[in-house]
Amino acid sequence: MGRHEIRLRRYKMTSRRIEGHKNYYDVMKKHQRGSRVKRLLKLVLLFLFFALLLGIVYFTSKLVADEEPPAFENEQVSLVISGLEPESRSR
Amino acid sequence: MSFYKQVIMPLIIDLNKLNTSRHMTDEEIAVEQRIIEVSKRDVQKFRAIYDRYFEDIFEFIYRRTDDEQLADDLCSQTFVKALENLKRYEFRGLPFSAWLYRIATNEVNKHFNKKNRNRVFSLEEERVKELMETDDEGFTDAQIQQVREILDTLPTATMEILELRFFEGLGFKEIAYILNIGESGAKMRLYRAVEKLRVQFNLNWKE
Repeated sequence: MGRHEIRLRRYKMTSRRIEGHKNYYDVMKKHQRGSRVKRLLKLVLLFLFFALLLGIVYFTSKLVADEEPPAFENEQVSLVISGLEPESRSR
Repeated sequence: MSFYKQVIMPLIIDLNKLNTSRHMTDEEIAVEQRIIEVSKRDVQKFRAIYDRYFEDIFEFIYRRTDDEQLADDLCSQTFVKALENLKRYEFRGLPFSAWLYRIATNEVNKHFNKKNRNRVFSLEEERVKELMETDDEGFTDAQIQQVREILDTLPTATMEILELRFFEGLGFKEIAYILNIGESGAKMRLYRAVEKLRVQFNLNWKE
């Protein structure tokens, strides 16, 4: 701990003067404002947490879907054999 | 003998004063604890505690800042912090004021660390005079100045203990709790400081 300074004063502060600084209403107001901010912060954090959780679930499911082998669809395969032309054309 | 009587005797610290401190009976502490428990559920009930300790805490902070407006702000901040953390308060057999003093000490230290300024101890001359045995003529300005100079040379941690013991009138258990140190450590530091003061007073006056 650093240095300090000693100051001597002639008299003690009177109770009446100290009483003038008393303000319970102000203390309660500050406390209520503080608790409101705290509650809001908690809510925001909770929202962010759920948003993050949702994001993780979405991207994980997307990743899993991409990794699965693609299902075969019915494709039309046309074979063209040289020399053999479709009937419609010959006509 | 006359030198001792006239010069050294007047400045010998009255060690008997070390044994007297503001005392609360176990019953009073228990009643206070019940108020705290009720206040944890209903903060409006905290007013009784505020009314009871406001003056002590304000005076303590004023003594440590020497600034009335700053003392007002820090005192208000101390009670707001106490209210915010009331649910986490654990009863340790000490008056609730010990916890308030601890918060106030932290607030004052935080302020001085932030401002990067030296700590202040603003002491009442009247109280200093009470703690020293004086002859009939009382203290001279030179003697008062000398007390100030000697207190200035003590380590800040020791000054904190001296202030809590002599000016706030707290017991060693409370001081140990407030400063987060061992009780025996607090006692040792204080007695060492008193011895140092006595030696220094003698030395200074011989000079």
